[in-house]
Amino acid sequence: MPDEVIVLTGIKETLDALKSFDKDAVKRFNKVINTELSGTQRDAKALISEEPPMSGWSKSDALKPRKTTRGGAGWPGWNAGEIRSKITKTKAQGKVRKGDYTTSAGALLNKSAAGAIFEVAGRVASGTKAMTAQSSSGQFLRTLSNRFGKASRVVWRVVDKDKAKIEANVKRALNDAEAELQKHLNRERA
Amino acid sequence: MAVGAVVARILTQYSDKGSKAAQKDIAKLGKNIDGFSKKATRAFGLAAAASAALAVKIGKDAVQAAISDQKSQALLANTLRNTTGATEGAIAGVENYVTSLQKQFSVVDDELRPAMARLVGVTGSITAAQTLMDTALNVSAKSGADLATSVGAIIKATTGQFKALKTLVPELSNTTIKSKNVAKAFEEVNKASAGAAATRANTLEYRLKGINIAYGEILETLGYALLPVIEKFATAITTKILPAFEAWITLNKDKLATSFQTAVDFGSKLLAVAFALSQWASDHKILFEGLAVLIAGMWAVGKIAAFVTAIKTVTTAMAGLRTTALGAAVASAFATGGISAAAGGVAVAGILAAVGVGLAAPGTTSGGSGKSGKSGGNPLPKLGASGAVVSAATPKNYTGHPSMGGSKIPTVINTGKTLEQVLADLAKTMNTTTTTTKALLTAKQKELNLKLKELGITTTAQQDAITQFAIIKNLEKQAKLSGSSTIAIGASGSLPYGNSGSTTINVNAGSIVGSKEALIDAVRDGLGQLRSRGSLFESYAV
Repeated sequence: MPDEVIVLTGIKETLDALKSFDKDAVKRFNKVINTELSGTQRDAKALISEEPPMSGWSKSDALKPRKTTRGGAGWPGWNAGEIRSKITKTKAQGKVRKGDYTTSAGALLNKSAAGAIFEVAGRVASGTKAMTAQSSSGQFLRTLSNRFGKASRVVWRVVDKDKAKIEANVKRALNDAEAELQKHLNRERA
Repeated sequence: MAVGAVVARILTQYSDKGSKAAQKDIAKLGKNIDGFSKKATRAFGLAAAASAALAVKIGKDAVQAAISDQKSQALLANTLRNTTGATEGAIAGVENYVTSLQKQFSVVDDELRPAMARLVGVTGSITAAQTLMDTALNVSAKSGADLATSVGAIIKATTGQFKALKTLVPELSNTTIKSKNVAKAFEEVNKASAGAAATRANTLEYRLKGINIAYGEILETLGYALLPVIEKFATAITTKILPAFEAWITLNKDKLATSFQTAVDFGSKLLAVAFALSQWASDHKILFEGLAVLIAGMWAVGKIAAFVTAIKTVTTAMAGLRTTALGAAVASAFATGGISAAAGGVAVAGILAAVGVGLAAPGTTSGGSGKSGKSGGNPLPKLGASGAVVSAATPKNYTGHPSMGGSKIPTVINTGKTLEQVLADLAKTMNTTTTTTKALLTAKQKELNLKLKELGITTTAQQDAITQFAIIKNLEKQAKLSGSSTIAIGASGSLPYGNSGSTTINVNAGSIVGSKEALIDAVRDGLGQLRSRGSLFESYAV
């Protein structure tokens, strides 16, 4: 998970203003963002293998799930297609993040249960007793980490990897949009 | 967005949503800050108040310390002048010496100055006194005795009395004591106690004492600054306020005295009246209850309790007490066969007279007319029940109703009585009347018990005379009803014309009454016939 992400100021305002002058410019900006999101989505999906991460991870959901596992839902089966299909992109604002009061302008979602487990398993437990425990859960965490690295294994990994590129592209697009808006405003004033 | 999904934000933005959340948080923060500031202000206010209180305390202590210090300084200076003819400069030098001793040995100047004054008085020399003071301080420190004791022992030693000093300094040899060599004695004492005062001053206890002394000095300094203000205030009081107050008192003393006397008289009378009215009502509730019995005799027994309760409630709030009280006495007379009327009458007249209000007292026994009389502007109705009458006249020394065994009730109107006398008379009247009434009612209860027994009713201990009387009345009523003729409503044929006794109506609802209205009509018709025959029915209709 990245410590910092780019924060864009006035995307909505800029685009709203730009929309009244040049809808194509708005489309161009949105296209940049969509392209970046799609690229990361594609990369994230590519990280999902057809076979389960571990041999013991069933491809189908448990028929008689344990009551204690995921609130009785049982351990989710590794269905690569479902996991991939549930890696989606969004431009919804979502919740306001406490601390910097920002909302999301674009995000990747890993919505499947199996995909989420694969993404974050061992994140909190990293370096703790759970990781070194001799229990099956400890073994699971260790194996997963050894094979696929530390937690943040799918969408966050992609975002972290491409963060600089994405930021640069979006910033450039935003600058273009602002310049376009300014040009229209100057023309209006003249 | 699915719940539980992992969200990887790629782009974040400042949006309106975030701004609102930020504003909300800022407002919340503002409230928190406001709350904190209020709390802080409050806390600061408390601290300020505490500081103010402390300041007042410090000011008070300072002034007191300064006054005390000034007093001891003046006394020492006076002694020095008288004994050694010391100049102001010499006196100041002694003051400095005292101050230095205070700082050096942590002994307060208020102890040092009297000690110095005593030593100067004995030796007649400031220098000799200072030498002896050093010895005294060491002896005091060595022996643990206070400075005044040490100085006393040293003064005695200078006159050849070594016993006290030997107690404090055991090292003083008996040989020296026997030789009465004062110089040798002090040499031994100094040798034995040298440095004791300085050593003591370095202990924790005396270092703390030194801090206290230093604080005391600060207070004294502050006090000296405040003294002029206090002196100005005292001067103003003595020269301006007190004379003015004295002059005003002198000018108005007669008026004040009259006003106080009037207030005292009025208060006494008012208190007596208020006490009499409320106390009499509560002590003679039985008389009020008697009224209930009188009425209850004509009604159902079950209504007595409620009525008595109502009467009790009313009695507490009655304004026209005298009239009501006499009415209650009449009621009680009826209820108890007239035996309590006398007590009631006596009570009313006696109590009211005792407090100088009613101006009425029981008089001669004669047939009552029920007319109101006049006495002292307070009209009182005469009692006409059972021969007991309250006369309008007020005999000076009423000896009590015959039924009360001639007990004396204080009924003389005496406006010159003190409040204590009035209250004493009132209490006496209360006790006498209450006791008499109780005795009469007990006797009546026994009589009623016998009557009930004849009627086949066994009373319980809890039933009082009033209840018993009501039971008897009810039974008598039932007896009359049971012996009456019967009217059968709805029966065929004409109504039976009975004798002149009571009549009972039997309603045969099943045979003729088809509706409630029909029943009512039938009853009304029957009643109409009875009334036309002059039946006693109406007397018992409830």
